[in-house]
Amino acid sequence: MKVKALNGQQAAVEALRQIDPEVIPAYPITPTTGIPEGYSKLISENKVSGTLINVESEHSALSACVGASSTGVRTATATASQGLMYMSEVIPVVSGLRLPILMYVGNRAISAPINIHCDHSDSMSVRDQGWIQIYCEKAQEVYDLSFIGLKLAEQVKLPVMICMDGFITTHTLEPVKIESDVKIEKFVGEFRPKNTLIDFKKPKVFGTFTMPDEYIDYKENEEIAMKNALQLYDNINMQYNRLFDNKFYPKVSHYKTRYADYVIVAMSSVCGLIKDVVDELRGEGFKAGLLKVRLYRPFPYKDVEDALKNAKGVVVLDRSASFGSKPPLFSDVKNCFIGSIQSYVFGLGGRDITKEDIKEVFKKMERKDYDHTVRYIR
Amino acid sequence: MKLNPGYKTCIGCAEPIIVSQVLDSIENPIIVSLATGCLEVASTKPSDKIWPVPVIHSTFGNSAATISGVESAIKVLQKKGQLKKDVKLLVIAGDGGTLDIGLQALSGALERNHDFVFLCMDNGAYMNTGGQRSSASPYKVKTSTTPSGKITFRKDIIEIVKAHNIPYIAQASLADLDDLKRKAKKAFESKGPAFINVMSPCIRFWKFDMIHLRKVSDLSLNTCFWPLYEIENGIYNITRKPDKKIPIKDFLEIQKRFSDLTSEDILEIQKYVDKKWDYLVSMSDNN
Amino acid sequence: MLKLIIKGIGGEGAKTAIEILSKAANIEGKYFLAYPEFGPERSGTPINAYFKMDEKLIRDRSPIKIADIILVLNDKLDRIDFELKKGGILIINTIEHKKYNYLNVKSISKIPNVAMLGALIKVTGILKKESIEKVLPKEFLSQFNEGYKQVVVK
Repeated sequence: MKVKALNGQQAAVEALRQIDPEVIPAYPITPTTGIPEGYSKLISENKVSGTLINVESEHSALSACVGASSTGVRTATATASQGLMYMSEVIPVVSGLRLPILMYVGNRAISAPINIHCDHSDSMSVRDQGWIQIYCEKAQEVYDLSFIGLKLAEQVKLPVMICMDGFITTHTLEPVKIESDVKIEKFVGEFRPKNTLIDFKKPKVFGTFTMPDEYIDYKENEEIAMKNALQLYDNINMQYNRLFDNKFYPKVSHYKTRYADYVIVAMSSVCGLIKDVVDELRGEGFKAGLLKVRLYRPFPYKDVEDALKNAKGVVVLDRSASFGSKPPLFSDVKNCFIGSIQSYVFGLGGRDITKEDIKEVFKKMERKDYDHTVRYIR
Repeated sequence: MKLNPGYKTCIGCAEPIIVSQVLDSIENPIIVSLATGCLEVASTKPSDKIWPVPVIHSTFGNSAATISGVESAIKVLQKKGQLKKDVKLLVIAGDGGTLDIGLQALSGALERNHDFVFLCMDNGAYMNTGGQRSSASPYKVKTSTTPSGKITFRKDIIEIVKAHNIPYIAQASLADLDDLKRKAKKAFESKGPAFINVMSPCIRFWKFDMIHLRKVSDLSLNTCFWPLYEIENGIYNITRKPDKKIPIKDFLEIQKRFSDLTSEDILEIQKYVDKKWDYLVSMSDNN
Repeated sequence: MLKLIIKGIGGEGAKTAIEILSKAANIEGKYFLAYPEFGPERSGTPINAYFKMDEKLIRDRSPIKIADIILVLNDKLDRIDFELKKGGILIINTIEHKKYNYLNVKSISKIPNVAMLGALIKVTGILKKESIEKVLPKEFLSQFNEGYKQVVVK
């Protein structure tokens, strides 16, 4: 085990180096340009055996992923924001074809107006499309969850999106514990899917034309796969923990939620700041807690429900909106808590959230200052 | 290898004939990347057993990007010794999936020099969705989105593909099935990208009588509307000249999609066809 | 937790400087977060690079509003001490300065970042000299050492 100074993109590249997918089609977009760049450097240094296709658009990137993965090889790509939007036609094709493609998303705001900074509107816009979604707080999680996510994806045959905050995680250097090639290779294992394009004895059509009597069955199977993913995640997390000391990444993480009166539910890098605030408030005798959600799709309803059941009030912080309705994370968490709950949208387009903002959010809930509206933290 | 019976195309559809000729031109295992279109819809139900080869269909415009992924994967597997077969890759798309929404992916795949054959079956419009115009629709043709006649001339896809400097490009039609098969074989055997453009008469939307099924292709050859030629490493070669060149009017008047043409229109089209033919002749004579 | 800002003009190596500091901090087993000012890639305009360091995990990724140390690579910049805390340390690349620590990098090298890192270590000792030397490519060692030697401490 080595500790290296890496940012989120570099952590992804390191994970890719150890996974060594056969094909990586990629189109560069801020803030994940470093991933195809870093990977092409590895190729030029003969450190990996795969190939990088410098495609002419993100739509073609994911399309080429579909082609490669259907041929039976490990495939990965990286994108963000407009790139993910451009890919979105192909996004459900990937899950519909049950291809365990690995994709890194550097969460970034979507146009218009154009903004290259962090929020979750890109990955949230495709949350219904049958991809496993994991939100990473920092580069360390990007690294470790690449392997856990990939293994889960290959077991249930669904694609996986490893999400990290644009700039805040993609571009921030931090110490990252890197495990040995041998151990990672052992954990990840080999990828040998059964039905592929190179089966000439029993040639199959990938992407069939279905009528109403058949289509819904395919979709129900995707739902079943998601259910399986929810169950299998814990097993895989345990396996990882057995191999690598002190690395444990449950679907949700409790931070002083036990005996907490007021809990914030949030995802990704903002959780770091919230933990600092929870500590400060606890120091003042205010019983605050944080529930950090890591696995967003499939959504861990039971885990969230268990964590929140003794809280007096819950606040959900979303880094994206659902215009005309409640934001994504809130919409899911609402099903897990009967009681005072408030939705906030923050950080769109990379706007900062401060300790004071978070303290205020806790205090407001304590004062029973909550309603059915979606409040924006400005 | 040919397509198995059971496909649900219109009676008299050219597409299954074209595809079978191409599939039958070599012995190697073939993987097909199939764009959304008439043939795709008519032959890829889960219960269908029409394709004797593996097929992948993802979206309308990305068939060349999809095959790029397949080709890269195969190359890596071959390099690692995990795949020993000499697999051939074939993209099948209509004019929409080639010249319009598919053009970006096609251009990208050609420029990157992937080893594959791109087969364009050109019926001159978006037939699968009801016959709307495409950039391959001929001048003055009546389509559901150009009811008064298309005011622009066709995109010359052969010249666009030629600009990518690929080793083999060919144009073929049902006027000469052997010529088509030979060209398909050459395309598969060339190293790098290859492109074949085949005229695909559509009974439904070209609106000609069933008895003219064969005649339509013969006329396209003899009026020089659809010349049969190839470009090998930049060198032009007309593979079948008409015995006697006949007026374009003969080709146009048996199709009701051209029934609103004025005599001026026909003159314009004749000029255009002549210009293109003269150009071809000069390019091939200069060898 | 230590909070350091490096201010410069694009192309002067502020971003590389925090990478070097990160690697050195890593060698010493410290926890750190280092990031350049986020924005589209461009050179020739003012850029801030941020560096946080601590013995334990740093969870707060918000921008540094009040810095313990500011390193200024270009004396033409405005408001060089805007974020500096009371009693904080500032080192500036300039010929002479009345108030703050300074180093005249021109005599040492064209790109100021490495020499200024030398100055930083001499004045503050936030990391061991040897740690930085381990991380620097050999051809930059002399710039680092000159900066270390020549900085004028106030």
